[in-house]
Amino acid sequence: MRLTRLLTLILLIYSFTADNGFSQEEYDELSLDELLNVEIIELVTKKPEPLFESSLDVSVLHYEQISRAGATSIPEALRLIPGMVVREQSPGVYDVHIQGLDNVSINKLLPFPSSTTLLVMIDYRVVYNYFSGGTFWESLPIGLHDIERIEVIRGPSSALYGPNAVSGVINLVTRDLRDKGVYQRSSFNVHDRENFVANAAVGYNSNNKFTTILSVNASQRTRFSKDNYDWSTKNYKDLRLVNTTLLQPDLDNPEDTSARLDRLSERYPDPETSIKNYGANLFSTYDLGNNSSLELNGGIQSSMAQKILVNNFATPLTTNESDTYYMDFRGKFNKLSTQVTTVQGEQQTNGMSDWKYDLAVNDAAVDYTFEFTNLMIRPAVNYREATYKGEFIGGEEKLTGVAASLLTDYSLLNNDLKLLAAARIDRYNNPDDDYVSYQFSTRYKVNVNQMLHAAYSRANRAPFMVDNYLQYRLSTDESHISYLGNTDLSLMTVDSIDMGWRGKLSGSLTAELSAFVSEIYNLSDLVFDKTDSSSGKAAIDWKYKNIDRKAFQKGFTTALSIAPSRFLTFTPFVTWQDTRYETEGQKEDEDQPTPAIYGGFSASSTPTALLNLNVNGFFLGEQAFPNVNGTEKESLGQVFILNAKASYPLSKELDLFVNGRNLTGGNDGKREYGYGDRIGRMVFVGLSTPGSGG
Amino acid sequence: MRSKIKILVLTTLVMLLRFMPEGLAATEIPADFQAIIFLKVLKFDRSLEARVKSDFTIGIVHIDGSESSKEHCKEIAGKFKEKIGSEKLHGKSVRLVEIAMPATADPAVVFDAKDLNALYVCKNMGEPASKLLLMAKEKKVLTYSDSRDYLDKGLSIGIKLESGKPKIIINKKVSDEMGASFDPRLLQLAEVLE
Repeated sequence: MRLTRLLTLILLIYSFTADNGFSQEEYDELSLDELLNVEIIELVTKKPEPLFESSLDVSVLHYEQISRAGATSIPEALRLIPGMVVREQSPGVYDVHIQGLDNVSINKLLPFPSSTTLLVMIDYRVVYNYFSGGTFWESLPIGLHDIERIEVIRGPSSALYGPNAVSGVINLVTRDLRDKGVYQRSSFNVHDRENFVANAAVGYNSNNKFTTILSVNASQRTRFSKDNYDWSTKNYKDLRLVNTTLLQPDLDNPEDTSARLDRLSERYPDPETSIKNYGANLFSTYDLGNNSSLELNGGIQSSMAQKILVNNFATPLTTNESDTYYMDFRGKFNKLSTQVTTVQGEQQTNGMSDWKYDLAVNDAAVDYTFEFTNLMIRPAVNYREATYKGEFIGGEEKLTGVAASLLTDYSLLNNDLKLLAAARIDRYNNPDDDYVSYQFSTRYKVNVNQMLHAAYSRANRAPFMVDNYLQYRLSTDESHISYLGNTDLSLMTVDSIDMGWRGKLSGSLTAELSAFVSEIYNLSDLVFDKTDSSSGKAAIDWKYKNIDRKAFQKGFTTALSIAPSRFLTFTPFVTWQDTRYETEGQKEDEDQPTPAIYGGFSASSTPTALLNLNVNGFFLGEQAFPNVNGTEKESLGQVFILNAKASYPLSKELDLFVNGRNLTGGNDGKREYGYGDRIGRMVFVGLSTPGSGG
Repeated sequence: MRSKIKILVLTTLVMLLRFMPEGLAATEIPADFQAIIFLKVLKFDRSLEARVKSDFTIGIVHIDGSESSKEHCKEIAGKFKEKIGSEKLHGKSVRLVEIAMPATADPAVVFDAKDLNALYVCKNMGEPASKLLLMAKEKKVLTYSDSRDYLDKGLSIGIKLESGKPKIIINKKVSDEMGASFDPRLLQLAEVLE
């Protein structure tokens, strides 16, 4: 906490110094040009406010910025946002974290899981996966062209958005038709027949009463290399030669096929393709007048991706399949808002039928807003039910959660000071316990050019199927091994302090700096439970248990936005973080998958009225990925990813573009994620219709 | 099946809640921004000084009987009051008038004896908005709102969010008819509807 005190002191000194240097201007004093450049957000309180005045550490990325930068998928677009760690595990398949924290989620069955501490929503519809936690990005039904903006909160926000918002929140806000008449938007990125990203949408706005959009998306990418990592021989090799670790291979006889992975074609039906996905969505809104509206969205998706998730006892890269559909109903009736959603379908996470499951996740939420002078109070209730059915949990199991929350937002000193307090209590069926999360944040407007913000938060992760109900059994020649869940686990919890400063240093330069300190505890792992040799073969049980392990993280993120002219913008950003783990009071090895330094930049230029150029990059510092038992690790050096896109309008409604991804990657590329694929250069050419009627 | 029944029950519950009393109408762009931006836009009207004889009067109109329209108006009027202060537009003092327009009344009541120069039209005015905007055009009173519904009914100046930032919309034909002459610098910043 020494760092916290030091940062507080620095920020206070800075604010007092700044106060003397700047006049007490208000927005009235800004020119019209400057006023029209103020970004408005609704993420924190769901009420419009200037982003600059937010009491939390937030960023917003708009579709126009994403399109200009040439991102080909939603997770790739997140590389344009400060604080995000985005790594490509295989071409087009991404791992996404906010501020890192890779190691808090790992366990022996899930040695490199997707971030379980990040809450992702589509229009406030939670898309968290309750199989093992985290977000299956390839299974999102929407495409980039459906996005109006991406809103990000860095730092815990369970009190505002519910469990799993431990390291942050991402809200993907879909397109809202505001102009009457017909709407269309499409984009086609093509490299060859097997590498493409295609999106198209048409819509209609009938007199601002009824709007509807039908959208479809499809993408496919192939791997740059056919090699997979072999756990037993510790090298990369052709998938057909990979051994299973359940049988001891004869290393002196590499041609021995007895230890090879069985059911290869079932587990890897398309080993050369890294991702293939399709989605279709229908968005409809009906305006009831009097600030009331009904919204009904629905969609389906089908995907196959090769990603690193479950330990499949052979090679980290594993086939994941998903076929789901969703319905999302939202009603707004003046001060009352409600949302009822369901997602159902089947998924397979290990390329084998015994890891296949059906899922049904239902959510309902109601909130009511009371507004008084300078004070807003919003109570809310939520209900969530996740039902999974599969062999890995021995049939059908259910996780339920009921929650009540209260948000208050109070402005004083003529809105120079803002206080936000939120608290939420979640009652789960397993563990049969209550969890309280809270968030106290404040923003002080030093003047119209200087803001200070700070937050103190507690957040927790939700329970999920693998941790709670796992009943996975396998047999070797010597033993029967059982991997078992535990319904009495204490839920991973974070306590965090963050503080930051935003400043407009001149008409063309804005800067922000935010620092964070957090402690994460109640971690769990699959640990040895008991053994029984009474019936011949040894029966060995491994069970999920809380472990005496804690993580301590500190760091900062800083970003600049430089616009020397209307035709040129440059936005660099960087994050430094340091995470230390302690097991039973002893400090662990410092090698970790989260890089100490990472960041990026985006530079856009319109040298002529017609030509649009964007160059953007993403940097990852050194990373180390220890394997399941910590007996080996793959260390990756620094990675720099450079992308560039140039577009030229062929007509008012049609742009032609060339889009180069990972131009520094060469033909073979580098690994961005331990034991993953090499990611090489890929150049797309394409056509897009910028969209009309939106 | 049970989950489907639960969804049905919750949906029905929500539909019933529809009949709860009306509340505050949310605004897409904060009310203080709308007020500041409109006052700045007026400064770009090069013929304003010649058109306005004494004080510049801004009316804020809502439909009588609609709680949401009234609440929206209250919020907007409050911010306009704060921002007007000792504001001068081309040397003219600015004053504010709040007007409740009965739904069945002739829109002329809005303009009678108030000597309006500009009118903010609040949300949820319903059908009377068309007649009101038509009459504003006849009376050469500039109209302004954040409700895009009014643009094709004859609103002269609108405001919307585009890529998260405020964007002014100038209905050029309508504002020209009203005698306004906007500086080309403003037209460059705005989306101009011809």
